[in-house]
Amino acid sequence: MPSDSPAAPFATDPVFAAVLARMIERLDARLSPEQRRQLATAMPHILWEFPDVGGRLHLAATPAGLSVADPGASPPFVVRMPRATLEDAAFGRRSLGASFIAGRIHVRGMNPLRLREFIMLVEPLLESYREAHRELIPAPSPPLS
Amino acid sequence: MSSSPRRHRLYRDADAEPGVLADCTVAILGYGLLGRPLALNLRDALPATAAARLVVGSDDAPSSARAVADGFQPVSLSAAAAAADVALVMLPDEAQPELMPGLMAALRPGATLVFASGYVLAWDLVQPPPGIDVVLFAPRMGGDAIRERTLSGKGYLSYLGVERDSSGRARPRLLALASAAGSLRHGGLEMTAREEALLDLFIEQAVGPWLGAAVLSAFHVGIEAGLPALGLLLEMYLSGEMAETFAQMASDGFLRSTRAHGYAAAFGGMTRALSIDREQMATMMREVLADIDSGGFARSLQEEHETGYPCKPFLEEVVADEDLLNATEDEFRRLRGLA
Repeated sequence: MPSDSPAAPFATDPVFAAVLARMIERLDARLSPEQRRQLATAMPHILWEFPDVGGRLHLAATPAGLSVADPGASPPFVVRMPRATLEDAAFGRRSLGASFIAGRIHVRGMNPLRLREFIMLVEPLLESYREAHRELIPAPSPPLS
Repeated sequence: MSSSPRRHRLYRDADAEPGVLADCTVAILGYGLLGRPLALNLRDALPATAAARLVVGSDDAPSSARAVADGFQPVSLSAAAAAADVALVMLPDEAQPELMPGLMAALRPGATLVFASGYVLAWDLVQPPPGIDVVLFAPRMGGDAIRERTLSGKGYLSYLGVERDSSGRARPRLLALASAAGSLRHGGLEMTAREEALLDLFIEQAVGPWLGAAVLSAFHVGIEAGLPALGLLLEMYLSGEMAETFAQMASDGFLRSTRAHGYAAAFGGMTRALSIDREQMATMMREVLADIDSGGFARSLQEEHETGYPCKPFLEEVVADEDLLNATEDEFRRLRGLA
């Protein structure tokens, strides 16, 4: 699996990498202290993989805030999806639930009893992605799916 | 949990004394998927005096409207509980810790409290007060099927158990109730509330997801390979062949029913089954069972309820009409003139 391979680039597309990094900044600003605490307890380290563009994003959650650093040791919760799937969800073209059913999203390492903390993250994350995308890529998003 | 074999007890209609309930007021607390068919069955089959006193309790407007349409005069849940000699709890599992303390306070001493699921008892989420009998009557069938199988004379299996017998009348009342509700024509298997809850949740969470994942994966792999979407769904469940196969497993035996299929099916199935990593599957199932047994799943479900069901929108998305699978099913209904 890509996540086990030697350090892969953050993202092959620097613009996409910048959007993801900005998304995390916006997400951090959007979450309440209580939400940050819950996330840090349930999922302190999430790894997003975008195999179609060779991108990876570490999300480290602590009560103090979110960052894109790789905190190392702890085995992360891994979410694997094409970039297009993220953008389809962010721009309302296809929900994450529908993509999950269609086999476009793969997760591993998640404690199923902590699904709530992950779900709590989804809408703020998609909203943050939309904002970051509009901020850094002014042109309308082309259809990707 | 013990793995030692034990003798099972299956109760039938002959084990019940219907007259036990003749002077009782039976109350159905909740008129939903399970409460409705059981109320209809009991109205048909209780001794006339008890049928006339049957009470439906509901605090949910749509459910109350359905009860009125079915000829009942629903009252509030608390009023139904206060009237009951025998109260059937037909409320969602996760809502019971919030609702039951008030309803149990309304019960009369000596009343029999009947749970249709062992969930709240298994993890001590509800503590019935002293002096109340506590029994389990857990149908192993969905709501509509309960009514249909009762009307057709087949009956349906249930799990029965006496968790607490303060009055000395708990078992006779339980058997009379299960018989009137239509179950004992098929049979009621003796079971504790904890066993029922563990079994129910374990199979839902250990087998259901594998079946679901297998169907979805086969569908999408088949589509990728250019197979017809409708054909894939017909093969898996839409034709009803798979349902017949499961029915044959129940009648002939899980392994023995294999003989009813052609050799190609048996040979192909067996050879592919050998390549499945059963140890990995078993490991995941052990983790699921440990989560349930420890109360971890119950804590998670209660948090989900208490925080307003935050995962529900995602679950709704999962079943929404965006997938090719739903569209293919609709197309089949259209072809059959059902849509």
